[in-house]
Amino acid sequence: MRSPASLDARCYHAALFLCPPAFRREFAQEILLVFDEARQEARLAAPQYGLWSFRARMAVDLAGTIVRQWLRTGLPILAPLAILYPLAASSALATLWRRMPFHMPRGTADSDVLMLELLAAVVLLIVAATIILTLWFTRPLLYRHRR
Amino acid sequence: MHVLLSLAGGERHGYAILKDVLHQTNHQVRLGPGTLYGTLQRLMESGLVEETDGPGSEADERRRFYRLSRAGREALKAEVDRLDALIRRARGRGIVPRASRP
Repeated sequence: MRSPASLDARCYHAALFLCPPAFRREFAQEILLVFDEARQEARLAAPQYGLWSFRARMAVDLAGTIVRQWLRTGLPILAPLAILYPLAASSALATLWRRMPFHMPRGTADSDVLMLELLAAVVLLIVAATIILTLWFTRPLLYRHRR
Repeated sequence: MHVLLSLAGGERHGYAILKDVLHQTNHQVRLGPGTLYGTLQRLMESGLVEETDGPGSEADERRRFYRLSRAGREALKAEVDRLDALIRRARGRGIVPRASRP
């Protein structure tokens, strides 16, 4: 019977979820195995000081791995795009606002209708973003089943 | 380079590679599991390292074993040749490593 995983191993396992999914699926199980063995060794070598130095080394190593693996996916290129998009959208809205061919409603009832429309637009945007991101991140799974 | 050199001694699993690199480098290079598997991933993508079935029944099922491919062995040899030539040039200019000094 396998002994229950240590708290360190559980924390490390949770932190591995920050790695890109493809890397995690490929190597997470083995990385955890190596982590467990290295931890056992550090614990036997020096029970207190050894473990803390081991934890620090593992944290630095994992942080570096997370950054490197995400950079390898090429997805960080989406970050500047994610900043550009709201900037472009807000400047377009500001331009439209100035050239609007109609006046903003002054009555409470009209304002409520406008708010409702805005709310519906935001909800639709969130639904669309959820669908697109879900499809994007489940691509590796779909390919794997097809193979 | 250290990982390739470790695998030149035969097929190994991840933890064995870590230990071997530690011994090779006199405890100066201590790879973490994330760095090791990132390196193995790149080496496998470049065709320098390949996965094997392991030494059979003795192997832990959860372990994966790796070995040098033919291209990996050639790449390692080319790198060792390059370093060897560099050291010979350095010695020719009077730069002698501390360990070799009388």
